[in-house]
Amino acid sequence: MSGGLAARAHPFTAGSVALAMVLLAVMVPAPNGPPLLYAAVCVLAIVTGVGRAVRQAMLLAAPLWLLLFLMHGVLGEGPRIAAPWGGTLSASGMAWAIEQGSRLAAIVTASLGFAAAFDPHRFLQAAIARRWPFAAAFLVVATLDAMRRFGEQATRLREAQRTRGLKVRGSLATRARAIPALVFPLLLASLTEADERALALETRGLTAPGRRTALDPPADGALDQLVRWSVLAAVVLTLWWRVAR
Amino acid sequence: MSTLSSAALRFRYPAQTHWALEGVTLAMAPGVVTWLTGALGSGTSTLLLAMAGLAPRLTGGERTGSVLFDGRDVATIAPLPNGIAYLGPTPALQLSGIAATVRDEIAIGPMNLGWPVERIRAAADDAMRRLGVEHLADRVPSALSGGELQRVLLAALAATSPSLWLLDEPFSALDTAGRTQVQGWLRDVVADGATVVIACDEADTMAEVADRLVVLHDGRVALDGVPSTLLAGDAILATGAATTEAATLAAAAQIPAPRPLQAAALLACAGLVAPAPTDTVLAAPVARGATLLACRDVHFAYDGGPPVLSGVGLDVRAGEAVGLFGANGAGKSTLLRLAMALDHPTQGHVVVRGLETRGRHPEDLAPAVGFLFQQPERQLFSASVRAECVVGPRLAGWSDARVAEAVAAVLHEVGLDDVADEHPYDLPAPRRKLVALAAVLATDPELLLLDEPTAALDGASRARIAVVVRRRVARGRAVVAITHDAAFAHEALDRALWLREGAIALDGATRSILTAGGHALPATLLAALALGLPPGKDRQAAVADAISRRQPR
Repeated sequence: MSGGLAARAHPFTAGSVALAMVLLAVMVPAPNGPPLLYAAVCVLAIVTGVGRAVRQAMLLAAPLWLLLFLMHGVLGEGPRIAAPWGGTLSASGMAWAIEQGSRLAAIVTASLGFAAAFDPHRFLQAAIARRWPFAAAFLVVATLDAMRRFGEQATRLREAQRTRGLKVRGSLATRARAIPALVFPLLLASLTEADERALALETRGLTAPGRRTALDPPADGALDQLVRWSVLAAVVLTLWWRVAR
Repeated sequence: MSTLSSAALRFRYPAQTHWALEGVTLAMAPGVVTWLTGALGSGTSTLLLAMAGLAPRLTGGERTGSVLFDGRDVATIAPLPNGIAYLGPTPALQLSGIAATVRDEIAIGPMNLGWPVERIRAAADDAMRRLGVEHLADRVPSALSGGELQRVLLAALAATSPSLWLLDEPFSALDTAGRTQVQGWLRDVVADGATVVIACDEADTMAEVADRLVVLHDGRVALDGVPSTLLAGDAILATGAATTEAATLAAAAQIPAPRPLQAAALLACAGLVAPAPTDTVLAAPVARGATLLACRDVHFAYDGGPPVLSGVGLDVRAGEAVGLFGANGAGKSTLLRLAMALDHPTQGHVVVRGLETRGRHPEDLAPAVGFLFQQPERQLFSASVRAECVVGPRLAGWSDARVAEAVAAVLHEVGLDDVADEHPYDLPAPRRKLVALAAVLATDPELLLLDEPTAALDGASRARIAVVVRRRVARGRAVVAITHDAAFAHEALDRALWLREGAIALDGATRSILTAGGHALPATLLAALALGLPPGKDRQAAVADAISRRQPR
């Protein structure tokens, strides 16, 4: 979890902004909307202290960008434009690739940014304070926390297998050979962990019916509320503009 | 006053044909600590799960008979809101996962019960004080050591003031101070009228707090009575359950029942005078083998956190068995991780078998170095016990014949022949530890790194591990073991290091480190000192033999 503005904001604010960015990424009109929004999301992530998400999203989206470029830019039809390296590219295909790539990259960046700022404790306290059904709030937390748990499980398993002599570094062939010894146990361990989590939930009262107490609900100041209303307005206005056009 | 009772209780796990519990009828009174024990697989952990209503609700399986708490079937009620606290044998699995700090973790229970904030804060602070974990209040729960976590989980359960406590091996990872603290806390809980049931194989610890002893054998109640009477008798030995170390030694020395339960009584019985306490640290026997592990001015901290190790220096040679002692959180597990190249020092050097670990990885050290994690679940992935043991030798490139021979030998040595084809997760938690150990031993590593190898094991298994260690050492292997088990340390380890605040405070012969480090001395060591037996000739068999020769025939 980061310690920047995104982490200090009310959890619902961070969630609202991330959700709004995802919706806007789908709705903003091409050709300029998607790249501009993607740039805005990147700037927002950096300014609010979750800049790590930008780099992670770039890495995640890189294969997609490449695929879009090959499928639509190189192999696309229609009028051709000169490529910097001497060949030609499809003009409409490149525009489509940039549009779709930007939309997806914005979605991934916004999601990873939210995940980086997400604090299960603060989110749950906020949800309890707002009288959300506890099961729903816990479901959100468990879902968003699943990747972290999965990652921890993978680290433990990797360590244990390496102490037995499993080689996970080196050539591509070596790494490929290690995959079954890591992936299958990881899946099994994750299933076992699910059982064990059930024990924790039951014995710690997390499945018990009834009202919970919000111990230290995060402050929900005027600025948080202004941001949430603003992003809601942005989404509604964009939707109205797209429908009205 | 809350009462717990079971009547004709039978339980079997899914896909199992035999009943793990077979006709258990018991009534647990408030204000009493009931101690459940038995040989591995006797059903004590299963009985606790059934009493908490978690078996079969969460485990699956089939239950007949009844378990009633305050007249209600436990299978139909949620534990915590109904005053039932259950602590499993692996506390790390019971963390809520939603707390940022220990203080928040402890407040989770009362929060889920909807208590007012002021009451929650007061209850959490009180629970932390009673379990002695106030100093951990602002730590991240998942970063605690095993012993710290065990006490934090107890505090988390204590915060809701339950009337029924079901605890599975609550002392397994605790240091001496933690053990004493939890024992004192248990007495307070019982004095407040709670019902306490503890499954535990640590007879010396439990003998000091238990009011009643129930011994299970093959899922049935074999013995039920006053601990001091049962522990001193012959019947408990027949069940395979552990009795106190003094009584075990007395039995080996052929002293007839009723046997002394404590070291002082054993010495008196054998006509021996307790040695005067001494703080002198004696040098460990000199090993002349090659240096297999060397640490030079090793410093370490996790991710910019506070220092965990500060200037550790040590050498471990072939033919040495070294114990790592120290309070919970002293840096013992971290030191072992550095020796396996799972982490690297922030300053200084760790050299294993002549190779600097910096720039190397665990797989570069395996299979010459074997590592047993504190939680065996971390290293069990295969579909059967045998398959688990095969992994290491296969990765080492051994031939099929050599693998088969080595695996058969190690399964026999660790006592797992009878479950070789079972799934590791179908075995009780303590036995999984033996599986993990067997898997490590299968490649016959030159340097064995063991993190709490005897925690939560029964007496027979602890003795077996001591034999395993002695055999390896006799063959010129080296062993480094983290342990809080003084009797095991005395039996298996020649040399001990005491870590304090990330540095080695004491280094010497195990017997003198146990004395100087403030450990309660095991009965075998006390008797050996009283008999004047020198180091190396002070193991249980030799001491028992010396005592038996003093007995009138």
